[in-house]
Amino acid sequence: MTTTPPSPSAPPKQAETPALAEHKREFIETFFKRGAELTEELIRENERLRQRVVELEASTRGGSEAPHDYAARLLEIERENNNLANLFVASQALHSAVELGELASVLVEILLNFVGAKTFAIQLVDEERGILRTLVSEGVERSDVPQPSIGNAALVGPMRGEALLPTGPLRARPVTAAPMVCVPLKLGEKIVGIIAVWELLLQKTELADVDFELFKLLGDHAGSALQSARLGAELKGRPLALWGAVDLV
Amino acid sequence: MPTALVVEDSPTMRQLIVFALHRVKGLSVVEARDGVDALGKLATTTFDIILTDINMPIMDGLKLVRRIRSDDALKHIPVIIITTEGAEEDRQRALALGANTYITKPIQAPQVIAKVKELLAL
Repeated sequence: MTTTPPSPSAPPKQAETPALAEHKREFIETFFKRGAELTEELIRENERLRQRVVELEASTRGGSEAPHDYAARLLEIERENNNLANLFVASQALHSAVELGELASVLVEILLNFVGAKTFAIQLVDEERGILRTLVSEGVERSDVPQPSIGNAALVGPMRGEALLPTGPLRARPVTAAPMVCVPLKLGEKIVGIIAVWELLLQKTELADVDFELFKLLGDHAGSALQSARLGAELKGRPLALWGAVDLV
Repeated sequence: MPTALVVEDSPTMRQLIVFALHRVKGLSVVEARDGVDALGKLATTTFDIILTDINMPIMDGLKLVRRIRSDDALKHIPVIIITTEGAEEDRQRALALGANTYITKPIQAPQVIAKVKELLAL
């Protein structure tokens, strides 16, 4: 497969002033800082509740109450705590990456280590050509990832903002087939790209509860993190369309 | 106070492991980004447990385990492997080299915490 040559072009809304871009950037940073603070608070609260369950369990040990209820609750809280930690770390990493290359690495790390995806790609909408261009891939060479047209039948749902997140056991697919998981990357109402997964790690047979939350986080925030990185590049005098990021990574 | 060394090239994964280990009371944590970085820290600091990834640049986790087990001053330190490699032969190879425990990613924090506590007899 041949690699599409770079095609620098102006973004659709090029008239944006540096002041407006800075304002947008400040807003995005403030928004996600508050999000991180809220997550930290939730984790602290979860820890407090976990301790409380341990205390209650200890106080009822030997009594007539059923300790297995507390044990089950403790397990549930542990699971919730684990999920929150994943989301907190992923969110923090996503929004602390300011360079496009760094952001691409963070996205790969989250999908590989946190979700357990083995073969996947992040593709951005190239509005000029009407195709998806590969920003970064794992488990397959970037140049071997198909760059489908935006009108591709498998992309109808994702391009409308609907994530393809199946439940139950998943089977690996070749990258020439439609991905088993496909999550739109949103920037407000606009779809700026997708996460496509074709295979999970050997030990991972299906998506877990936290994976749905992680994909939601990535779908809702990765687009704005990419936009933020693009604005950063623009402020440094390197204007480019969002999909033009693929030429910088 | 026991000290753990976390060896992982991915900053986000490292942060997640450190985040989990902070829930082990009294455990302090030092981070290294690859095997060579880890050996440098092992030369100057005393560690009670090591948690390492396998796939890392410069020096991978299996080479690190081999170096640790062949060093009289270090070979007693328990090692936990945390990796994306889920094949049974990978697990057997790591355990044969001297790793104490093998955990596959994505990790569950309670599992990591339980193994650390078990190996440190906390």
